[in-house]
Amino acid sequence: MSRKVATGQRIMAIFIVALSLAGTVHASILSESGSGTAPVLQSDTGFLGLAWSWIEEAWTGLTGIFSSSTTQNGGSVPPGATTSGGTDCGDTGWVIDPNGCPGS
Amino acid sequence: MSDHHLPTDLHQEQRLSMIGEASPWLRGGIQRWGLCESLIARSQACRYDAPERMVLLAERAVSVAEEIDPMEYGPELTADLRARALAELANAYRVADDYESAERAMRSAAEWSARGTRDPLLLARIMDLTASLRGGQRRMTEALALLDSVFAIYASHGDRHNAGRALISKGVFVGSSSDAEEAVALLSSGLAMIQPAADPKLVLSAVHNLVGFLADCRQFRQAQRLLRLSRRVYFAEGDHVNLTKLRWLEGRIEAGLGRLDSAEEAFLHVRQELAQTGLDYQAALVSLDLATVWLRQGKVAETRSLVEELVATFRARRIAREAIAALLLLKESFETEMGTQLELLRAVAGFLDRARHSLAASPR
Repeated sequence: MSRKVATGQRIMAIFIVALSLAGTVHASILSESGSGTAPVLQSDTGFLGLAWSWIEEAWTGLTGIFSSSTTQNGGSVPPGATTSGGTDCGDTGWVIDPNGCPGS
Repeated sequence: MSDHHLPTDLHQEQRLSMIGEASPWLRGGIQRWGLCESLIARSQACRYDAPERMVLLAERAVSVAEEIDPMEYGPELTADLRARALAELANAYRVADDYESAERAMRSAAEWSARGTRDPLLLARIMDLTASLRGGQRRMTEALALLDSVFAIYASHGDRHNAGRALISKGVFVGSSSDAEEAVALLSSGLAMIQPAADPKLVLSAVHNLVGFLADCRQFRQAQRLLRLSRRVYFAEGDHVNLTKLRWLEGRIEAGLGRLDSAEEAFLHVRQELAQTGLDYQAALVSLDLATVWLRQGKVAETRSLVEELVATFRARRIAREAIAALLLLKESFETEMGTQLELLRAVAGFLDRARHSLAASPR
């Protein structure tokens, strides 16, 4: 466990330096409005408060995604039809998706 | 029972089956729930280096979830577990490059989740995995919208680590949609929020992508410094394919800094490794980088041969017509000795960038 903590601390140290090099740390993440699909969340908004109706809509939206699939160009694809398969992680090929990469 | 105590001469599926069914006490609901969660965790751990095992473990998790009596925990909680297992299975299929099965499994996950408790955290996880699926299908608009929702849920729950993770994923897809500067911003923000010790592989993913998009922004010196600082993370957490991708980034940085011989060496190595691993499309993408370096080195004959190879590969994979057209033009330019090959090669890379959306409409 202590070895894991030491590794974690070393990794953290690397990233404190890395972030200063990248120079693009954003301080006010929680006040960003994002793409408009989610409500702006204030730091004191309760999880069981404002979010509930939005979360219900989000559940509906999630099931809706798979009930009628559309292509990027707007054409519709019947449910169950083959949608285009990816060939790699993004088009660049070198990216690493946190959820894993096809073809690894 | 752990699989270390099982006979080693059994087929893997038999071993996994015995884990769940060897002893009477394992037939109980609590044990099955724990077993399902354990299988999910073990499947996730394979996401970079063992796609077949990832699928196998996730399929077993789904089977175990289906065996749980809904009356033991109530139908809604049981539906949640099935939804979770199916979503992880969908992700495993995606990693194994089986998008058709991934789509089916994720649809089932969404259907089961609709019968569950409507837990927002379950929603966030399913959306997160769906975003990766949509990203892999080049449906970036949907992927980004899903990740905005994921971020919102975790942020409202006070879970900075997973909110940061959502930003990192968003950075990956934004960068893959050609907005490298925004990708750098998102990845940096995400890194600032996550707990590195909790998920070192997430750190690796974030740093790797940050280095790559810094290079895309032509900030090669920054990318190089960050890469040097992060090398230990790669060797501690990276598997063979991710280490190959590290070498790819090194090549791109070397090319950007004008060190063409080093860049060539890196790209040749990466191309070979990817081809040997069966990642032909990614090997073709490296070939574009290699061709650019060769042109800058004046190696016209080698580039011409490589371009012909690329035309064949892209045609076979039904890559965007514009990219193939540009490659054919490039090929023609070698025959007529036009002096615009480098620009044409860059145009191909640009076409691939812009043609991403049209790839989604082409069946595999």
